[in-house]
Amino acid sequence: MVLKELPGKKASSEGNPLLTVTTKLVGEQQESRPLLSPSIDDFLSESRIDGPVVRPVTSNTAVLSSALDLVDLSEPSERGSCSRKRSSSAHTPRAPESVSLDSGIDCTMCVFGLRGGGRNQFQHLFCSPQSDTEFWDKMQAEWEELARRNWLEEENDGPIPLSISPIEKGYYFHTNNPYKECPNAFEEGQQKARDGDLNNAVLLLEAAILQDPSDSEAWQVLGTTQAENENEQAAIVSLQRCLDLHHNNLPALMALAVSLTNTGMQQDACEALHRWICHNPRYKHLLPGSRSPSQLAEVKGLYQEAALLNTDGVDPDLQTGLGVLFNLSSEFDKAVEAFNSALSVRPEDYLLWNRLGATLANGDHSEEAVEAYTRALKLQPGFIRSRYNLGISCINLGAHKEAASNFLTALNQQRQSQSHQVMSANIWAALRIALSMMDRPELFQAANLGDLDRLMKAFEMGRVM
Amino acid sequence: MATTSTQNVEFVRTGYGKNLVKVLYIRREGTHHYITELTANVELTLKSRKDYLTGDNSDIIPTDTVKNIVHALAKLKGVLTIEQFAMDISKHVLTAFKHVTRVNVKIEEAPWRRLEKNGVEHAHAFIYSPESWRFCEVEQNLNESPILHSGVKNMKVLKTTQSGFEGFFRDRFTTLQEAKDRCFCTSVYARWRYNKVQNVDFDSSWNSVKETIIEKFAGPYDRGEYSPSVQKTLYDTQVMVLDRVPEVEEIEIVMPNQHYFNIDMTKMGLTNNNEVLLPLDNPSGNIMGTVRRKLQAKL
Repeated sequence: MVLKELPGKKASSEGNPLLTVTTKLVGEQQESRPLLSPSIDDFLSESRIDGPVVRPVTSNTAVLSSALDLVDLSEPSERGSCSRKRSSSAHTPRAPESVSLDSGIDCTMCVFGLRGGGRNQFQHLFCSPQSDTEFWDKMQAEWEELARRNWLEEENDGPIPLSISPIEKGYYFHTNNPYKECPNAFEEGQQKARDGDLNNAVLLLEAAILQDPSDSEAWQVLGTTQAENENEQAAIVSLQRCLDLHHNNLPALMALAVSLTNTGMQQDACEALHRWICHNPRYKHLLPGSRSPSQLAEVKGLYQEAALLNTDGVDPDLQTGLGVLFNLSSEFDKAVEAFNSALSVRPEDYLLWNRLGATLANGDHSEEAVEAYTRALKLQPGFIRSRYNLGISCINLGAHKEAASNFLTALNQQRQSQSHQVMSANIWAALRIALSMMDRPELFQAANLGDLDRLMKAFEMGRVM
Repeated sequence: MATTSTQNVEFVRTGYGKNLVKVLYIRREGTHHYITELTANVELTLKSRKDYLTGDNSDIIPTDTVKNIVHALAKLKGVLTIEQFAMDISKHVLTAFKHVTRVNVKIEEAPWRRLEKNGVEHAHAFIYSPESWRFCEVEQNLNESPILHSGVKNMKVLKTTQSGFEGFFRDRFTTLQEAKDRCFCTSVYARWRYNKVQNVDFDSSWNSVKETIIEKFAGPYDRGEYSPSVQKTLYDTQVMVLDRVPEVEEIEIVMPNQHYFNIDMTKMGLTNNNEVLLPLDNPSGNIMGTVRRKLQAKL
């Protein structure tokens, strides 16, 4: 097995040879860094949904190694019968023993949830600046464990939870997270989210999760923050993780239902809303004894019944659920009513304003939608999703230049991140559409090349710092 | 002797890479073998243009290396689907080098079909069955997510009835006769863009699209479905695809209209009632359309 060739338990006084090599590389780095043979191993494997994941360090901050991939094609007989490692190692919080590695070396991690008959295990692969030997020992152990996993294995025992396909999912953490060691990352992350600084909120919340992957609340807030950041896939994965840990987390269920609605997963959204009622102490008595079906019509009926119970006051969360259901059934007027009702109780809730706006927009009331989005953005100027929606309504109203401006503002806000954030693909796609309608081919070409600076200049938008 | 002035010349676009890199990838699960044979075209765009301008090659990653990258990645990451493999190549190139700004990877999969008899699959034998070709394309800029297209091409289908063409525009040069019942033959080309690239079952999506195209073309098996024009069938197919496959954001379909003409045998004293037809592959009609989901506001 190739793993044996890798630097293993070396307590050498000169430090780890691989690290030595990479520090040397950093020094020699030129603009056009040649691809050296050690870095044939340097593959960003975190995107492999089917493959094992590994996180050693390299000099190229964006490239990560997956020597583990070399053993993917082992014969089943070779794999032996090693039991899957329990997640015990994953739950030990990271003590920030700071033997910091050389600059230029960085790591990332990816937390994978493994489907296994409902059991949830986090393979926690974590790079942190601990002492060299500990670090490599840990890596070696993790690699060897993961090597035994066959990426073809399908685990279908037990009921399949919401939207889980046999293909594994993972959350893709940021490299170079400056808050990795931050002691109260979660609280700070929450605060940043409230302040509208979504970039830093995401980083802080990710750091909190890296420190403790079983923190379901952190996953929940990360999920809702990513949704606000117009990063639906990340939101969905985070919320699902939260629910794996804490299956009756009501805010997570509602947020997940919204995200699933946005991505056209109607049935799954209904199921999430059904579960929300199931686990809601106020309404769960409404459910018939046996497992009731969760078709759209039935779930809608349930929510309407529940709403009738609230004679003395509107439950804004219930109304949100109703609003989502009416969106699913394309009864936009009723959805608008529901969101307005919720807003009567929580007029400062910018999420509700955005939901109202989106409902109006999807029901072809673009002008009113714009008003709602404007309210949302006034309450929360960093609300990327609402700005994206505003851009879309501008397109629908024929205001292509304003649309493009809005998208550029959002992209620029996303770009202002300390760690290297990838901007929302949706927003780029919408920007390209707006530009294509403007008869400015050079701008469309700039958008195809991802040249944000050029576009901002063209729209006379200075770099907002 | 006049010297060439480069002052009034500017770049529009540049790119270079390796085309037609072919690999056969075998995955062995005991005695049961899985194969994917593919052809890849990989194109890079570099940050600087000095290679074109001054002949300074220091930034150029040789196309031979590009070929090696494809080979090595097939070994190291395996090929589960061509879409994922294309994204792997793209991601590797953008992260392993600091001076590549854009990558374009096009992959075509060879249509091997496992031999099967009476429901029993052969462990390792396949037959080349080009009833349709699967391809994909990934385009990715540095620091952006990849844009992924998949497609099906050269899927030739024919139906002998339930197709007509009437009520079209007539003018001085129109000689075509209206038809209530004609053959409809086309070689479908469809290409679609995904709105998400992670956690997508590409095999299943591709099969869904392919089956939808066939379903819309053929209609119910006992009586078919009338097609008033290629345009209508094309559009209906697109709407159905968008409806059934939420990951598809936009789809382009091109359907040539390959004509079959009734052979006039009156000069031989025979009455040919659309029984013997002449396949005429050129000229052929060509109908295309691209639709996308309307931009949805997000709750």
